[in-house]
Amino acid sequence: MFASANWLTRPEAPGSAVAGWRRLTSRTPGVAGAVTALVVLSMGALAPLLAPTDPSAVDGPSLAPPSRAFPMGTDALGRDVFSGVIYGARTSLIVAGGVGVIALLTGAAVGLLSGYRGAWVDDALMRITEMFQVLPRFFLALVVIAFFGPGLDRLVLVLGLTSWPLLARVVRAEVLTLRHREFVDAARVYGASSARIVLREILPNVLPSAIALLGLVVAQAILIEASLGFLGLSDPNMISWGAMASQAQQFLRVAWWLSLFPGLAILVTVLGLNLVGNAMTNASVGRR
Amino acid sequence: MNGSHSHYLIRRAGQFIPTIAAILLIGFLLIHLAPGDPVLALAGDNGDAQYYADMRARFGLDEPLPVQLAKYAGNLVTGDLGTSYMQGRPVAEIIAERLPATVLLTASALLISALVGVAVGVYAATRHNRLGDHVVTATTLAVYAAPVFLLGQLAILVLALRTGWFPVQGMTDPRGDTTSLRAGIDVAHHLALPMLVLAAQEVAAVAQITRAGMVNELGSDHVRTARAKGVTERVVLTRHALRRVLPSVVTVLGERVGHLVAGAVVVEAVFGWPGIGRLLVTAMQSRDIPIVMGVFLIVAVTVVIANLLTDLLYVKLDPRVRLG
Amino acid sequence: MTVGALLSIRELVVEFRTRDGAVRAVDGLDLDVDPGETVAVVGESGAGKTVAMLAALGLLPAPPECTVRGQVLFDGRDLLTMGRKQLRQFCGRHIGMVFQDPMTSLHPSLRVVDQVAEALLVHHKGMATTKARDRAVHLLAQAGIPRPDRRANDYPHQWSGGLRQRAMVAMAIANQPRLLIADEPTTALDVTIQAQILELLRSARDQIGAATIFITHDLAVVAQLADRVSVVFAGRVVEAGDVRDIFASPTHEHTVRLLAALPSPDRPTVRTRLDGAGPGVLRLDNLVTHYRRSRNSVVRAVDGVSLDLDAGETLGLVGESGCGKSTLAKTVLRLVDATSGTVFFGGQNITTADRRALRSLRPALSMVFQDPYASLNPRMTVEQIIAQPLRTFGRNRSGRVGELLEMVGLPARLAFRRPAALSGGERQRVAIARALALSPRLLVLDEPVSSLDASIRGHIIALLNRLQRELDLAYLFITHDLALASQICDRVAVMYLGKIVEIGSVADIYSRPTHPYTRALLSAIPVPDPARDRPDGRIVLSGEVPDPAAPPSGCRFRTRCWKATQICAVEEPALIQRSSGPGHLTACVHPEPSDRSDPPRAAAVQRA
Repeated sequence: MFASANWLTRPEAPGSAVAGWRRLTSRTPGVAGAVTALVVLSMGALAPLLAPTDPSAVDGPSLAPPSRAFPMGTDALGRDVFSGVIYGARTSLIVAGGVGVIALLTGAAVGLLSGYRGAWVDDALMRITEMFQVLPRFFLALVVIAFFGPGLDRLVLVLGLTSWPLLARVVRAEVLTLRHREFVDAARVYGASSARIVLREILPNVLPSAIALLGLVVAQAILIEASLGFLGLSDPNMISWGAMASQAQQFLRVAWWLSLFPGLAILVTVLGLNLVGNAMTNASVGRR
Repeated sequence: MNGSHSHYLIRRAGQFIPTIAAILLIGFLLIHLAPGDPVLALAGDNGDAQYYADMRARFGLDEPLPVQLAKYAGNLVTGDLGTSYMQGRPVAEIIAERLPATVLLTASALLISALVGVAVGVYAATRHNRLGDHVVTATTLAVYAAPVFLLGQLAILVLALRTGWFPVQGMTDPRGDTTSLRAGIDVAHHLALPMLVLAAQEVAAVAQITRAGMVNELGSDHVRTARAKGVTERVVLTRHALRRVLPSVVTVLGERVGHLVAGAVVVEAVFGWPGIGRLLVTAMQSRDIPIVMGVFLIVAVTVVIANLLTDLLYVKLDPRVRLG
Repeated sequence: MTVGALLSIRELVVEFRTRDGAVRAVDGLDLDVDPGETVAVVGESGAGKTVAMLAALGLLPAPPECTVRGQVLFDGRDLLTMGRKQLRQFCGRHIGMVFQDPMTSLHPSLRVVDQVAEALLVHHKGMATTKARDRAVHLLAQAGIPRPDRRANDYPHQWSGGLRQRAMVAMAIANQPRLLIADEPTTALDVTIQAQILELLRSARDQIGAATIFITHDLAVVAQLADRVSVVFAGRVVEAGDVRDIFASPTHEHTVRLLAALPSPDRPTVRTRLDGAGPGVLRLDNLVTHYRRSRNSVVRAVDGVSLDLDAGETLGLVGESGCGKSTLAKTVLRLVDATSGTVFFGGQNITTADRRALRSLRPALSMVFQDPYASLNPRMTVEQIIAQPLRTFGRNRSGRVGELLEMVGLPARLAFRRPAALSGGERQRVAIARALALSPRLLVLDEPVSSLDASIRGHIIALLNRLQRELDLAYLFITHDLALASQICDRVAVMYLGKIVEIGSVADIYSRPTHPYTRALLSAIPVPDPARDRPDGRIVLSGEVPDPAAPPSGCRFRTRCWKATQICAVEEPALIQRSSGPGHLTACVHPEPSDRSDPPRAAAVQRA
């Protein structure tokens, strides 16, 4: 007896929106992920309301371990780590939102155009996509920061403009599959224009997988921002989880909480986004 | 059979040049788009008038842009990456010094992650939907989501500081033996932790892809045929299933090279490993732009080469691409 | 256990754990197979027949995903209680299996020869690899693969469906098994190839004297092959017995239903035609559609087709895969541009019409596609799908969608469901409703019932017939199933490699076919009557369909025709009236005589 047999589940994928939702929610990881990601990101939005103190206030004891007063301890300057973590979510939220929007718009547009038009348009766009795809994002961000100085705006721009290729690829692949599906032919038979077909028939079918991938792409962006913060290159006006963790380097022996909590915050956020992305991918595959 | 094989290769190699050219172009554009005088970007801001005059001439900064571009490209191709103003030496020389340490770290991490990742992925697939699979999936998801520095710092806390099994920083013990075998072991000892931390995320990625691919293949029709023929499960796993999964694993590895090097930078910062990463951090702090640009270009070219290599490997593994 | 039975399945139960709970695919199945006999296991898709066989061989997932209970005795030994190692002795050695889809059942990255050799090497440990390869080549040759030694380095994707299935058969019989299980081995293949594979299975079985289990949903296929039949419904055997008894006097209602759904080509259903069909609706004048497949090859999908169609009439376009019928349909609807020739619709030239003229013509032309799932946008509701064409032309007055639903016999409450929630038959009705939305005059139907179960087909055909009468529609009905065409068509055109080889009334084509290909097609239709042998002998065409990018010179059918002579390679025969009545045209210089007095011998040698 063997571990798997997908040919058994081949016929008739059930799945209106209700069944799809049922499948999504019946998978606890997906729900847990969605909830987590939502919690963290809204933490960022509501930071001033949630944080007990101003994160840059230096009135706590220096390097104090976690306690009732300071649930996540304090750093060398006596700042509350807990408040810092909450405000750090704000940075991640901005990164997630900004990169997500840019990547989705660019990637979807390129993918749709490329997949539907085909021929030389497809070739040209795919060449361009490949070139953007090989650019090492992290190092390009470093170069930009070296030239223009650190800042969240330019980071979001650089990451957004280099994260769309994967989305474009996935969207294009979906469009290619759908383009030859008979319902597209059917639309052409009753005289629908190309624009109408792309927008009304193809796009709604492509969006779920694009959004699923977006979760993963955005998670990657958050990780890059954290790494840059760790190297001391984050936006000086914003609190970055990575920057918090970099302080921990010198005090590792004595203050493990400086490293653990910011790092954990990142882990939890990225994990949540990954889980939601995976769950959405599974759900949309099952529907086909 | 070889005809279309080399045809495909030539096509892929042909795309190599334009991609490199595009990378150079981006570098060039950035230099000129940045605020301030381009000569500062190319030669640092410490020089005197004469120095700048020389630099201007060398890079043709007073000449029309296309000529500048040509000179820039020409310089790069001959290996002239500019001069670090901080150290006063050619950038290429500085990078070449630090490169081996990073290559050692990255290459060993890549190798380990490929082997371990595939093994873990295959294991999880054979225990699909049972405890072993769930454990692997949960672990890989957590590791994949963790920032590299967290893993590094935790590793130091647990495996080095508390237990003293591994050294905390650096590549070699300064008071250690210099005879080659001892030195080799010493390096390996220092390499262990940073390499494992760097490999951890790659293992997670490879394991996920392998597992997904194997689960798919193990449930496919042709595996069913093989089992119906009486083929042993081990052969089914390797010849019939894994063989079909390897191309995508190879692709993923290739695509993650850029990611791997980025991770190496952070790992080097955490562990004090003397590679390009450390170089980069100090360069960033002192705004030593030629070095930053130099590293960027080298990494970009490496990624392109890695992609080309994985493409070749892919073609070798999947006959349909070759002949279809 | 029946004494002497080779295989004896008792009370087999197979349960799957799915997201929606436990599902019993097999619910107490019993089956006996004696040595050397052929048992047909028949039932509709999903009845559990395949699952049962796989369970018997231990090819299903392990618990808890899947649990198997019962007894499977092979030669007295229970396969279900055996360990993996012992079970493997049987799989591939004493029991060989041929699966349905040769495209996915072969390993894509291994050479075909190596896969066949593997079947040998697994069970003969000491055999040298070269010896195994040689034997594999020999087996492939026996299975009818031409020149297998030359194709020793081929991969499965380089072979056609028919060749791949032959390779599967070669693999299954490599070790001379005592039991051969064939799971829907011909369902995915064209009709003439189907005949070839059935012939191959029959001779393979006779050669090694194996008992055979033949799983199928199509009773006709096994009528002349099986000794006994077991009918499966909802996971259990509802009726079993000698094949003649089953056909002559079925007892269980399900068996009756299966038998009733079979069309018989000898007695084509006579349609009540409208008297005096209306004016010409469609006329094709030497239509040619070529398209470029790669740098060096141009596929000549439609290569000079002329025909016409009147209002209220159904013209059937029959042919196997690759003959160009789908491309023809797309060209008529201008989904694809013609390379040359003209399409006239109601007197207007469609091929050269500009965008505006075309747009105004669109409502009058409509199409129903083959795959009822792929032809409906999965993210739209039924109401939205049907309303799309109406909205495009601004004709969406309230109630129109409701009218259309009623016309196709669907309850109004389905309007807000999505296609995934509907059955195949229901989806196809939605597709028909959409096609009728703009009140077309011509409906092109591309294999509209091929994906549906046999029992549903009848209903859809009846619906189409009724709609044609009520709305005075002209139908261009495309299918590979000649028997089906007889139920809905007035006239039939047979296509081969981009050309029409014969055209005539249904009666002409079925009772007095003149082109050899038509005869072969008719002959390949399985006769659902075990008692009767074919009056004209079985015609099994040799070889494969040539590449449409490089059709044979002269008459394209000559490479597979048993009557081909010198002149056939030189001159392309024109489609004209030859020996039989008016309106009955044939493109052959050796047309079959009307009395069919010389039954052809079997396969001719393939000519280059």
